[in-house]
Amino acid sequence: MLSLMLKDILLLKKTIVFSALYLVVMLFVFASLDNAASVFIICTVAITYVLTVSGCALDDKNKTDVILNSLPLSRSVVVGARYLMVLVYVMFGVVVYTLATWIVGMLNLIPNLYPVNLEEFLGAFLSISLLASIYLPLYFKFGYIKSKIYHFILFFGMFFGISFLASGITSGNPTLLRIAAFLSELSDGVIGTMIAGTALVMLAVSYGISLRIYRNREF
Amino acid sequence: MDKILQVQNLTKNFRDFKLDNVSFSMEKGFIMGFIGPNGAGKSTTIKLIMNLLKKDAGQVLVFGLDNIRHEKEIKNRIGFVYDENYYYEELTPKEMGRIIAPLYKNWDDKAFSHYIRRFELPLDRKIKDLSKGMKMKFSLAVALSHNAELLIMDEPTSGLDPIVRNELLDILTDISRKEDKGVFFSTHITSDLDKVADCITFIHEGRIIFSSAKDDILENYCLVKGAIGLIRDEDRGSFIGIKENQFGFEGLAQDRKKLRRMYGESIVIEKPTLEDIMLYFTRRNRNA
Amino acid sequence: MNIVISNSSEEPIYEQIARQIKNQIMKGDLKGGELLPSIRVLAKELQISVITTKRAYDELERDGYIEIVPGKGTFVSVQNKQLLREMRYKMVEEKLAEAVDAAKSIGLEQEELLNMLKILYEEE
Repeated sequence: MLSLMLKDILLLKKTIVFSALYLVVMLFVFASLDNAASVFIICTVAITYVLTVSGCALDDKNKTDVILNSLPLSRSVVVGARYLMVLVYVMFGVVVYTLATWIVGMLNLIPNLYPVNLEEFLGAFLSISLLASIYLPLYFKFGYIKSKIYHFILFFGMFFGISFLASGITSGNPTLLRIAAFLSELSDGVIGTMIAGTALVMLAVSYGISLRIYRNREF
Repeated sequence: MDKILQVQNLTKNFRDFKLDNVSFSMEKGFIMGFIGPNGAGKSTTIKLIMNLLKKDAGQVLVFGLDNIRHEKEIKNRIGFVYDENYYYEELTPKEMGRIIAPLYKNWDDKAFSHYIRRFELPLDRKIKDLSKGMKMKFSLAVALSHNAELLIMDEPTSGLDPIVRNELLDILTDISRKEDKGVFFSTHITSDLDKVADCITFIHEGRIIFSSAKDDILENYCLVKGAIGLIRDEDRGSFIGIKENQFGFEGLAQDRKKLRRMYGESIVIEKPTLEDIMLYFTRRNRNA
Repeated sequence: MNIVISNSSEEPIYEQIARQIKNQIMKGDLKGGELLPSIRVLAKELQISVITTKRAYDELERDGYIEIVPGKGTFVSVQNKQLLREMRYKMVEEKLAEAVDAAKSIGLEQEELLNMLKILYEEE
């Protein structure tokens, strides 16, 4: 399992570095705005998504399924590695962001910079879990090229979806307000657990589907 | 002697091709050549052995174990080399080695370094920048670095120039002979096998035509040449096929002694190559 | 030990090998008790099948020329001088039988054949 994850890291060296830089740059660009939190969420989700999809693309391009399935690797590990990498990328985003804010804070370049708090992290985690849970089974079923279109839909859908939700809340949509009211009555801890739980359940279900698809595939 | 590979009644249906009841077996420590024209079903058979394709019927036993129930254990003991290099082009042999090493139970790093050096492979050049011959040698280096007992190779020499091909065959025979490893080697370049193979399995249009010791095959059949119309009708049964040109005929036959007795000096009898045998059998099946 | 095989000869390869080893044993080039290469090394060096070399060795063992000792290797049988002489005797006898057959098939008289033998012998 670890080998496969190492493989992705080695393959995506350049993309990883670029993602880190992107995060830092975005930090500087948007830090002065009030919703610095959403910067983190959007950037982390974006880079995780890009890294995941790029990893899939490279596997597909090299037709490495043949080798991977000729090695003493069970298909559950091959699929599992993809999902685990999603978590790794999210953590990577957190670490880079935290380091950046810490260094910037120490140098006092920008005032009022907060490191990531739990809400933001959970928000990012939920969003990327949703995206990955939809994308990965499609990738395992159709391969990278054919699922490219879903990739685009998801990517842009994500941006529009978030701003739609945000505007929905601010403009006073009754359903959303009721949900928001219900949620605000629960304690932070419960909400946090619910969000994390939902994300994990989504990933688990998606993993199950992906595994089923991959087990039936022929090369 | 133990059978290292047993294929029994293997069947797989495709839309326009069928692998039909394929059966053959191979013993430990030998080199088996798996020959057949393009599209005969060689790659399909190998993919079924490696469980890359799902069979419709039949059974495959490797080291006496079912290839689906004991898939992981078997794959730990098999080294594979395919005709197309499916490794990550963006990585270097060194990085590729680091990724693959922990996946094998019996990985031998010293052996890996030894083969990299012996094949003169640049460790730090991206795989996409290696020549086809070098890519093949890299595949082989990996296949030989985890104490595999069986090497399965699908057209490993296609696309290689004769010099590299010879080198590769030399390495394979060396390893098989010295270390008692089984080598299962599919190819349509039969000249590779004329010399070194111990057994030959011939597949054509999804069916096994024969599977036996190479010497038996080459001794049982003979190439016969003579004047047109020389062979009497009742003797034509001994022939697998006869080709006639303006000046004479050439045919593949069994029963060398009988033909020599009947026709004496009026025919030329030669030892056939595997290619001759493959060609005549293929033509016969086509005309049947 | 020298072995040269011809791929294009009608004689099967295992026979060529067996014959050549036999001759070398009888001529004394291969001495009794000498270690022979394993069937695998032979196959590798001559670039032929292991089944072929095994067949050659099996035949040589059957005819008493070599001994295969499991775990140790293959050795030239230690022939006592008498037995070796008898074998060589037999070889000459076989060759003369061939000559007689050939002579008879072209209608050569015994007298002429003996003359031929005399001339050839004296040529040495």
